[in-house]
Amino acid sequence: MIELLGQLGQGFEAALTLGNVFYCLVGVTLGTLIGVLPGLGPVATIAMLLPVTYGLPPLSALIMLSGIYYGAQYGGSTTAILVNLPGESSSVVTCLDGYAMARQGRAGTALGVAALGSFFAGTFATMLIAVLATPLSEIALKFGPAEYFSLMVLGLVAAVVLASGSLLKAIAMTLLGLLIGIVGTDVNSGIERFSFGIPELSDGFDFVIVSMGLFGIAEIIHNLEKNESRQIFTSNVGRLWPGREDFRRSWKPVMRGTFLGSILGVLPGGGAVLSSFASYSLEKKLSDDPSRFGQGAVEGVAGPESANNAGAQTSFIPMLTLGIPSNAVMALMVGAMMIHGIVPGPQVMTERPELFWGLIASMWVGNALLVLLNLPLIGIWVRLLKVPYRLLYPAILLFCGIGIYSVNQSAVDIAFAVGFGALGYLFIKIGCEPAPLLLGYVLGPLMEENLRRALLLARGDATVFVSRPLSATLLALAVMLIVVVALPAVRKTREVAFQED
Amino acid sequence: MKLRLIRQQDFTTGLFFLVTGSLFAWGSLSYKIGTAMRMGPGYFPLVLGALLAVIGLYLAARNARVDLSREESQLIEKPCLRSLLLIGVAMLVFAFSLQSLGLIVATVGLVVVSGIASQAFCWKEIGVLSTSLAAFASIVFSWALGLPLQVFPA
Repeated sequence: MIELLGQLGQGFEAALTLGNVFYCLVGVTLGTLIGVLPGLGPVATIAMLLPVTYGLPPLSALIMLSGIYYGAQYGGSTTAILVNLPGESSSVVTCLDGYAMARQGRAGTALGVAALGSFFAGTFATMLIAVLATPLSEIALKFGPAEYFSLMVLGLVAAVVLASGSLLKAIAMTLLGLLIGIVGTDVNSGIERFSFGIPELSDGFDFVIVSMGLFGIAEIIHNLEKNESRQIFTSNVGRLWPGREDFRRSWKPVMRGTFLGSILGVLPGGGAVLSSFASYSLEKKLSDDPSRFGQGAVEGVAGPESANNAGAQTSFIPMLTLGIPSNAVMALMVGAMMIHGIVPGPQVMTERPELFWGLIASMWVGNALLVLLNLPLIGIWVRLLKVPYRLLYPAILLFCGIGIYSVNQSAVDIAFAVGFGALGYLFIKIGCEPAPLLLGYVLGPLMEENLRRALLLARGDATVFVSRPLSATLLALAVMLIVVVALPAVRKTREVAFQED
Repeated sequence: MKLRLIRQQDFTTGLFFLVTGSLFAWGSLSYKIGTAMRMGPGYFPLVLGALLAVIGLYLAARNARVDLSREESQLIEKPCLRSLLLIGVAMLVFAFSLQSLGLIVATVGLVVVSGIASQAFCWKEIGVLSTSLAAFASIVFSWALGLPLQVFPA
């Protein structure tokens, strides 16, 4: 315990330097901004800003990028409450009761409850990361190639199971991602695979290209065919600080949401979206009067908003301790660490403690900044909602272009990104979610390497994956997940759960 | 009597995966496959490609049924080729003019071409937007962040 405090103290020391507080502020401000604006998500933004962080010290870069992710959760709720449009996919359920509250003239209360609940959740999740980090990293240090392979299988399976839509499609998307990840030079033999002699492909597709194409460009093309209809219900938000009755109603949902979100966030493929859905259905089930939900029940804002923020934060746990990204944003964070020459994994904590604890401490700092940023300055964000999309998307395209170009100073890279944009648009049309693809793409090379190494060490004996207890446990968990999801009862609830989407 | 594919989306998805998976599997045959103990560079992609093709085949076959009732059909929304094309061209204009003509010209090109994709296109607005974005990008990315970008025509 004392050791933990010491480590946290070290973290705060690193996070509270003037420069890092500044980058934290930049990150959460950008996060709030893109959270407020529908049609621009954290994945595209982080991908866009990755090249910009080349010049920063590694800790500052990570602080800023993670600020964007959890900042977006705050911003997303503002749009949901005021405009009835989810600024982020994790705020979909907040629309239901948040917008209903706004129509009753209680927009300020909804915003206040959302921000305070998120702050509580963020604080709790930060502490949870700090407490869990050390033991998890110790387990991870016992990992050999077989364990790493099994862990990644578990991660991919969980991502597939928790993705919305058809299971089979999600599995196929993951496989496609793994295959795209293979393009480039094979580390073991030095042979270039699927590069067709194109020199730009000898290192494979840079993942800024893949993510920007699939998430940034495709999204813009898709948005352009929809007609714009954004109407702000009210520019007068009313009293922000919740009344006593609202506090009484919402403290329990906030606690439950935080708890639920913290657990679901750790699961691969989980994170913010799933957490908010789960919390909303839980609150509705526990309520004495479920009919109030959808009519402006403050519990329906407090629970999901706390849950999505907790989930966003605890999804850092597998990435920081095991080096395994659990969702698309974390995959980008892995990329960001690699750019700075840090290989994510359990060794980061021992080799770069100031980086590890500094990042954790910065999350708490960031959450505090977000409350300040969101409550008193709400008027600015409301005004931002009036910027029409036709002025926004050329700017987004420009930032994408500059971002991709600056990775390798290569125009061909932008052409590849256009290709991935077209592919992403096809995926939207045929109803395939691109997130599992990105996860597979990031894990592909790692998985292949560990698989080959494990089998080499075991002299080609495939039973190594089940004869080593840790690896067997991980694989058993993966199988269990598949079985549970295949059960008819669960399958039905899963379908219902994603239908509300 | 009109016959139609039900679940057009899933059927197309299946075909897409079948073709991509087969291509990857076929392509990996040109590399050394090796054995499970000493895997060659072709082993992993061959297995993955084959798996993908099998899933694709299953999806396509399951959803290729012919049905007469309209309600059940899950059609693909008509793609908007105009925005797809304009956005793609805008990015390419930017990409290939950046090195020779510089950031300012490239930005104006990108904003103008992509702006045409919007239904509420208006020259005056695009003019203002492209000028301010070009100025912003030059100042922030080239000057403040120090990215190696050519601002003026070379």
